[in-house]
Amino acid sequence: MITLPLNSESVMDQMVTPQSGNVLMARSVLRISAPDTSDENYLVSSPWIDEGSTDGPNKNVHRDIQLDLDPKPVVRPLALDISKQNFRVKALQRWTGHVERVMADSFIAIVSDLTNPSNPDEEVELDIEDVPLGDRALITMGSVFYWSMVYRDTKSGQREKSESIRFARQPRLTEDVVEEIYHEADAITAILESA
Amino acid sequence: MVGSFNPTIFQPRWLGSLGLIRAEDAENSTIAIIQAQVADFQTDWFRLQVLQNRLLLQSIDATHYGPLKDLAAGMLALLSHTPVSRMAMTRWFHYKMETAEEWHEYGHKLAPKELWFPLIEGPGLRSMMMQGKRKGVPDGNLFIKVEPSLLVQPGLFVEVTEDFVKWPDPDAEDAKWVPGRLEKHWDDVMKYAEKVAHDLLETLARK
Repeated sequence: MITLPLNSESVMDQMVTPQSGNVLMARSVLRISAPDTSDENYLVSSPWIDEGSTDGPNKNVHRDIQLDLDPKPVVRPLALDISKQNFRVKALQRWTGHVERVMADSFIAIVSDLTNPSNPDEEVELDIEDVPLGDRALITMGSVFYWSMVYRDTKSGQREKSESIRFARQPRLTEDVVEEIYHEADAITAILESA
Repeated sequence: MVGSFNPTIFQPRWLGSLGLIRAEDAENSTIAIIQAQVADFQTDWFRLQVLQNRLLLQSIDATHYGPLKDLAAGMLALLSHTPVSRMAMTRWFHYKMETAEEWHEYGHKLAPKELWFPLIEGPGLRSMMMQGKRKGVPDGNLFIKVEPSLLVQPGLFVEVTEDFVKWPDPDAEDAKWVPGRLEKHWDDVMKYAEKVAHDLLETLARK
């Protein structure tokens, strides 16, 4: 038996609800995601039933399962309009990394393999040019980034291998918060010095 | 996340100005609506919908799971006084079956029909949800849902959700607990979900 995983590593080239929502235009989606809509209708395009059943495809089925469950899961998926994308993405390998040293045109980083976590960490040198312009200001010692190799399958049947780097973004600290951190550090220093 | 939110705050420009998303992401986002009751917009890699009692952030590209966590944690770190009472992390999988027979077989294994034949005609499994705990994570509630896939046919849809409630003081109203809890559990939940879906499929294939 072979199953072909089409998990969330693939971007489907259509309007996609992960599952339990109607496949709708974005404007309509708001309706199904409104609060207290645990009884929303959703589309079952191919019922999982015995063959020979008279139940037809694409029939709206009232969702009435597990209503006695308490608590219910919080997440109710929304539709994602990726219709503007004319390709499908399949992740081949993913890493997280942190920058060790920044040079003129490149930087040294330690990367951990997320696809095969048993692989040991590796030191790599990456070109700053490979980092999108919007993220280059974030390349500093210690900064964290996500690096992935993907296949992009276009509508015309072309398959391209590409890589993407995205740096982790943290909220900028306000002056108050920085002040608070300094105060805390001073307090800890004082305790240590008095011991 | 479930809590009490002010949707009008959540605008692409706001996230861009704070450096939580790239300026290009903010500029090229598609805004469905931003009003007092709801904010809803989408970029190339995530969709954010905020209602007055609910915030939902999602992506269908696994290469963006890390940035998605950073964005959620970043927003709630900035809005640390926002009341948030529950938070859940979910991952979805769609598996294509080779044949319809195999697909039906999996359905029968999950929910044997003998019990149902005397009661209804043509019984079929629409949806099954199991609730439990991930080992070693007593503060999380786990939900695993299995359904026929709507994306791939014949196919199986598996949804794994872990749900966390604010503790130790469930009445204290703030979001300070969210970034830490995301940091602590995100990677484990993502990996665990993958393992659950994979193992479930393997078991069904063997059984």
